[in-house]
Amino acid sequence: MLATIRPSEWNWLLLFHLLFGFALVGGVLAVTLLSLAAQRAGGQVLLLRTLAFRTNLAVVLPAFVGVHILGQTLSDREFPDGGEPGWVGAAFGLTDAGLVLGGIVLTLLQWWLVRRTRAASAPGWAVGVATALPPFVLALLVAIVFVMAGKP
Amino acid sequence: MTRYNWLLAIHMLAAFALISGAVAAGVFQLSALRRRRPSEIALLLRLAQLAVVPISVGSLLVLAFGLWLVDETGYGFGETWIVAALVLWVVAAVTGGAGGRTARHARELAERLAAGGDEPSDELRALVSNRPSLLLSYVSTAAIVAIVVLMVWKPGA
Repeated sequence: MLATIRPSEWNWLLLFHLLFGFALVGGVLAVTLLSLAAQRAGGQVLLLRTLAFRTNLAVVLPAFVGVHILGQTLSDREFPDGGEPGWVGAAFGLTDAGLVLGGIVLTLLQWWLVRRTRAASAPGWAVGVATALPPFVLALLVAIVFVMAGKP
Repeated sequence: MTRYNWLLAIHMLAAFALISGAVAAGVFQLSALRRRRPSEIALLLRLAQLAVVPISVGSLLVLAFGLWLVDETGYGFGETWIVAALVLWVVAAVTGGAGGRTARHARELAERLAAGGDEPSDELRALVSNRPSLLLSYVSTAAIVAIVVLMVWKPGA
């Protein structure tokens, strides 16, 4: 069955763009569940915060970079003269916001929070931000998928 | 937005729910493999159970809206890539469900052990790292990736 597939450079780019996208949303979903659970799990907070940080670092951040680079490459090929439609610009804008908030700010915050949790001195505002940010980024990603697929 | 765009958007959102749920469940199960305390394993497998919700909803919606899209776009239901995708969907559902059953038994045992002293157990370790069930999960993942490949290339279309 797979032998009947006709490989082309374009399709490979699209395939890996999609696979990075799936890894990205899956990673953010995992971080969201871990962060929400950390709010409620009294004795397991350090484990959950550490896993959230590692998932962000090992899955979310690389996937954000991969999906952005491949998306830009695909956009450059499909709209070589810069005449990209509005939905492409909107999706890139939302992705950039997600990369800054979910990729960079959240990873740094989680790293700091793991250290403070280990020292039993995690400030309440940081716990609140680290818990609220992942669901917000997840909602942002759902909006990006809708824009990319629906092309409104 | 046209009806086609709406159908494609919902189909894609469902695909993301399905595959992202599988990625999240994989993160929790692989993390559980590295833990020894039953309370930690139970917690991670409970989170994996939560990730099954988007997997179940997504797998049903992706199929329903995928079939609707076939009808909308005028592709034939007998085309090779569509039949192959449907067969792979069944394979992914069956193997994923079978692999998940062992994880459920492991979670139940971990919860019992956590309530009774929380001491590491060889029986729990064997259940969490059960090779046949891990293999079934890998087969399910491979089937889903193969479906994505078919959706991108549409061989024979």
